[in-house]
Amino acid sequence: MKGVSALVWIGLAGVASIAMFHIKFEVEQLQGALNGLNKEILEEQKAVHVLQAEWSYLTRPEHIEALADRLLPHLHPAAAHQVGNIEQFQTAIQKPRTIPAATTVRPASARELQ
Amino acid sequence: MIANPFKRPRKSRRSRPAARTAIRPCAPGTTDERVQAALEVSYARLLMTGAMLLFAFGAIGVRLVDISLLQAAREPQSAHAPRMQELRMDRADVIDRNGVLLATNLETASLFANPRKVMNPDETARQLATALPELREAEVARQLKSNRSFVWLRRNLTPRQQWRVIELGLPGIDFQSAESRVYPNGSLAAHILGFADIDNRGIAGIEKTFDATLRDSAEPLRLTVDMRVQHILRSALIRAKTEFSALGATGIVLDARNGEVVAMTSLPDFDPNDGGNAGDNQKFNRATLGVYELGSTFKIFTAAMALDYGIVTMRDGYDATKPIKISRFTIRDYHAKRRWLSVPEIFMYSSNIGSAKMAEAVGSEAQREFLGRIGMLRPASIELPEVGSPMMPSPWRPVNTMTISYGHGLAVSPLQLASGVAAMVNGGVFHKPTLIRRENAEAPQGKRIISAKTSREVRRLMRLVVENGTGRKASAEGYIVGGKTGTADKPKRGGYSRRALISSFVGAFPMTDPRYVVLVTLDEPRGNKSTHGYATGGWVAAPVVKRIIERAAPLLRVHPTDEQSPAVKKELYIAFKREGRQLASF
Repeated sequence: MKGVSALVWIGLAGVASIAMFHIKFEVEQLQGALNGLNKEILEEQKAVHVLQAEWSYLTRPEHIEALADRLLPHLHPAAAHQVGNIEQFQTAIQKPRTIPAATTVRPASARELQ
Repeated sequence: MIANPFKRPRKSRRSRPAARTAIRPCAPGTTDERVQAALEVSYARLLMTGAMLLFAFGAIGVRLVDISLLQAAREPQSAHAPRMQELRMDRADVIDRNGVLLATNLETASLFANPRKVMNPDETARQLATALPELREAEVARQLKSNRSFVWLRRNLTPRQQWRVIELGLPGIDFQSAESRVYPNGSLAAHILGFADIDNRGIAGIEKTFDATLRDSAEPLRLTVDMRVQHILRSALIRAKTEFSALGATGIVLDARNGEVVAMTSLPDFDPNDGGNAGDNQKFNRATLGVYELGSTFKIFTAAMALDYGIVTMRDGYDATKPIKISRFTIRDYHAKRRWLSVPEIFMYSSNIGSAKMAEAVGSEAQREFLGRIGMLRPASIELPEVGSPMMPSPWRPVNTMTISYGHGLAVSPLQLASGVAAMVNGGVFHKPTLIRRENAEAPQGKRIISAKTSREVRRLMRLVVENGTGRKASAEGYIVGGKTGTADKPKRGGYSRRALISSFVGAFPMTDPRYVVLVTLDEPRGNKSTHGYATGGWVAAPVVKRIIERAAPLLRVHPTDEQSPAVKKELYIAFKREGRQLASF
């Protein structure tokens, strides 16, 4: 009887130590994965940071203006008379007028876009 | 169970008498004792060795458990493991009021060499000079032949340049990554931002003022500047500077309600990415560091002061028939009417004689106190290190009072003028100009300078100048612009130069409830055909203000208004006498 209980205890101790090592290695593996992910996040953040700087460089107003001058020759800054408010639309809806024939919009030619 | 090998064997003990009996006939007495002693010794040795081995294995076992289970945190794998955190650079970003990135730190590679490891210095230098044309081959070869173990060849390479050098595969050549300050918008807000040196220390502008904050904080620094408006201002100024061949140009757009600087430009400017190589003239901030006698724009303060102190009313006036002769000066009018002028007329025709008489009536002491309250007598309080001290007369004699009334004899920075004018039109409250965006709750309270009633009268006067006076070219349709022109002779040795002018226009819009103050100053503009040779504020600066307002107002969410509507006309109605006749101006 004494021998059996000793065997049971030894068996339990063995199982516990195996379980402990298993958990430990699992944790180590997860830790490694977490470190990898954190490193990746940091790399991504660096990439985003560089992209933000690039975005700011590419969207600088003088660049956009030069592009607009070249590619959108018919687009001009909004004049005061082009700005309206919602009340004006409501009056227009209440008093329907004859709508002038739609002006034809000429698509930009491939040459202009180059 | 494993038998203990070190346990004394019982059997042998039992067998000992038999052995004794067996041995006794050939080796009686002494032999038995010697065998016994040898056995004892070997038994003791065995026990000792066993104990030592047991101890050693035990120690190894304990250490194994310790390393594998208990000391996981000290394993090198985790020692360099990145923690979950935000990316932190050496220096925080600077952003504009809408979050546009103005200054940031980027990691760049710098090229260095270890001359001791370089095999063929001449060939290496030749190859490097091919990959990086900006390097001088002879200079690099000289560096590579030195006896040192480290020489910088070029700091802050672009990724493409780095790649070209890597492709060469040269021994003894390597890179070190470091952070460098980058200004993606280039010159656009050069004087506001300033720049940082190669070691990332701020040495001008916001970069210098907030050097410590930018180093310590991870949060970006938010400015009050709007890059869209900044661009509109800068491009309008560049155009005017070129058109009128001016030496320099300055422009400011200020929020009249809280003193926030929405845009500020000084030309010529520089690229902060290469700030170290900019000339002194380029680095000079004319908007805050330069102090100028800004001419008739000061009549706004003279009129406001006289009206607020109750010295004059809008119906009063002064005789402007003859020039005033005082000490060695003669005060005369540029647009001389040679008659009695009412206060609105003095303002509208920009009469120096009328303004001088108005200031004389107010008195030197009161004028000085008034100008002091709107910050004209001390350096502007702005978050920039480049701030100029005003130049004022000492002692402040009556003649100075008269000349200062029309902007001569007191030199202030354009920013001081703009913030002073903001206080005159916004209902009478002075706000210190600022470049740092604060939430409403944190914004400092302003200081009342003039009454709301006087402020309203000043607005009417300024509107009159744009409607009927010298500033008609500033009228941006729909935005009810008001303002004042200013043309000052530049001081030269022993007097004033008649040919060199500082031409300005300071305006505000919409005059019914001003939101923004716009100031444009041109340094030594030359008149051309389009201005019939004139280079005065009304001809050269006013149209620039118009262009700026037309483009910036929609972005600043100022809604255009019908200038002819009864409400607007009523708000800006002005009635003035002209030699006994009653006139009305809308």
